[in-house]
Amino acid sequence: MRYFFPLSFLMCIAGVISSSSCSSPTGTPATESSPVPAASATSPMPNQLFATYLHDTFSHTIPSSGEHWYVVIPAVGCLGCAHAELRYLAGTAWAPTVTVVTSGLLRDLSKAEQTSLARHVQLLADTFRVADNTLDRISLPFHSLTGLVRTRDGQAVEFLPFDKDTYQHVLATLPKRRP
Amino acid sequence: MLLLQPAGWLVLAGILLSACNRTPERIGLTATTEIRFRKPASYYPQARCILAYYDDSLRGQEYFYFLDRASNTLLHTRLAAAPPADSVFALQRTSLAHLFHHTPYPLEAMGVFAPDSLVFVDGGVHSICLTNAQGQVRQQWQPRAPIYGRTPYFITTGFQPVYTKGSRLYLHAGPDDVGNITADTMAFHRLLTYKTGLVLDVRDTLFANNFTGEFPGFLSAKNNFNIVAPQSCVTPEGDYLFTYGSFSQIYRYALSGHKQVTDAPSRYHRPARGLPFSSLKNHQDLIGYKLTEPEYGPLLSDPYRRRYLRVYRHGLPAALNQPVRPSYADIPWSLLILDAGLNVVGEVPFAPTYDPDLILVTRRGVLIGNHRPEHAGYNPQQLSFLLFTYQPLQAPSS
Repeated sequence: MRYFFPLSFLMCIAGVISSSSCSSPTGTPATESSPVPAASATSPMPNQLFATYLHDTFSHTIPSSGEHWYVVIPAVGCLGCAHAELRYLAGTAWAPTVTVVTSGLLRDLSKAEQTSLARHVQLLADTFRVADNTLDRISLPFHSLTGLVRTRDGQAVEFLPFDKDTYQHVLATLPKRRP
Repeated sequence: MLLLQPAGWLVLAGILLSACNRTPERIGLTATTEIRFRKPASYYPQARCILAYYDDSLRGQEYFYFLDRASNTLLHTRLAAAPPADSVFALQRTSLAHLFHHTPYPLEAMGVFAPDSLVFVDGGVHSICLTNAQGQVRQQWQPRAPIYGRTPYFITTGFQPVYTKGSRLYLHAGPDDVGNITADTMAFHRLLTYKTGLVLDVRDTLFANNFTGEFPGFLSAKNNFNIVAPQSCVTPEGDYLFTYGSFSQIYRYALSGHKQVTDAPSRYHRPARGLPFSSLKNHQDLIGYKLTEPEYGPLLSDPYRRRYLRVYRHGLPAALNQPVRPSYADIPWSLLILDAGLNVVGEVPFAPTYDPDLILVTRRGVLIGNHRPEHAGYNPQQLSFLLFTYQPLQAPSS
């Protein structure tokens, strides 16, 4: 459960949802997919925003060739769901073309879970948690704030939201590490 | 003898009339000194439920507690009368990692009966620990018994401080069987009807059955509900006070069963807009709602001065359609001062650099966090409070 301040609202949402409805995800197939929206006159496109965020926060550049997947899990929204999603990711060895981008939520996992996650997938984690960090405030087209960003040749080409009901189905489509 | 004379009755009537017509004294706040604690750079207390203050009036000592849930550590100090040479109080560390190792949930909240009797509640809301000052477990409960009749409930703090009074713990209850509230409107509205208040007595081992009183469920009139658990505090008499995000009313529930509603609006009050059910599942919508809509926040009791304090967040004029959303720490707010009868006797606006979730009522006055991580001037090594005292306001000259 997250504790930011004023936090009362989302924290309580997280509390209510995680305690009452997150314990047994139904695995409903994902049906939503968000193409990159058109740019508005006043705000940058999400793909630019995402690339800038990765560069500014982690000095990370989206691979300029081929396809790459980023799993975005911030520390706001349904936190019980996000814990479950991180634990799910920690249980499988993913291909090097998969990167998990997360924030202070990582510190809620046990040491063993954190180690397993770091072993199984590339991890970009901004664990500065005394305040909402940029990942928690960036406006990506994910209704539950969690989702996949598919990039091709250095550009984000698709945003796939997932939530507590759909994450298993969506994440299962990611490429796995070859034995 | 005076009352036997007509003039005496007139004098008495005049006194009563003037008492009835007297305008409540207007009260403001005056900043006095800054109190600072040395803390780990990675820690900032972002919720009221992890702050605690205990006043040992017999020994004249004050205790401050800050729970670091990320590291399962209790940071605490006994405040000396005079500050140290560098004016920064050191915090001691007590590990609590052993408390809830059997659950996957982090610590959620704490309360203080006395410096050697600390209460901790886990985030899974299924366990309560009573420890001594060193964090050693003296007693642990896992109350699972159904309460409020046959409905299975769990116990939670609602992210409010764990209030203690005598041998009583003031908590909240949540229904275990409500189902998926974001997918099922019936489940959601069922949730709104549940009773949430819970008062337990720790003298009984199985105290889950020993609740007293029933308290209202979430309010949802016209969907202005701010699906937030009620803010609460406890009066010096042991009554439980509740408020709800969008509503100016304060609900007072005595353990005797007597209920009272008092309207205590902010002078900035504006009704919150409705939130459609569909937005419950859309966290972008929820965050936007939270940033822009006004909301009543923490409610605190000041037993030293027989007053109450109530936070009102004004909301931001526009929060969305920006690449990076504003922070909750950008929302301006004000602090209402209420008298013992819950009448508003003052309201002090605060800049967003002050933290409305970092307020502690102490013997010395009201401590309010005055440096937040989101704003310039924040020192990661220090937790800083400004001490405010009440000040009668002069009536404006006409």
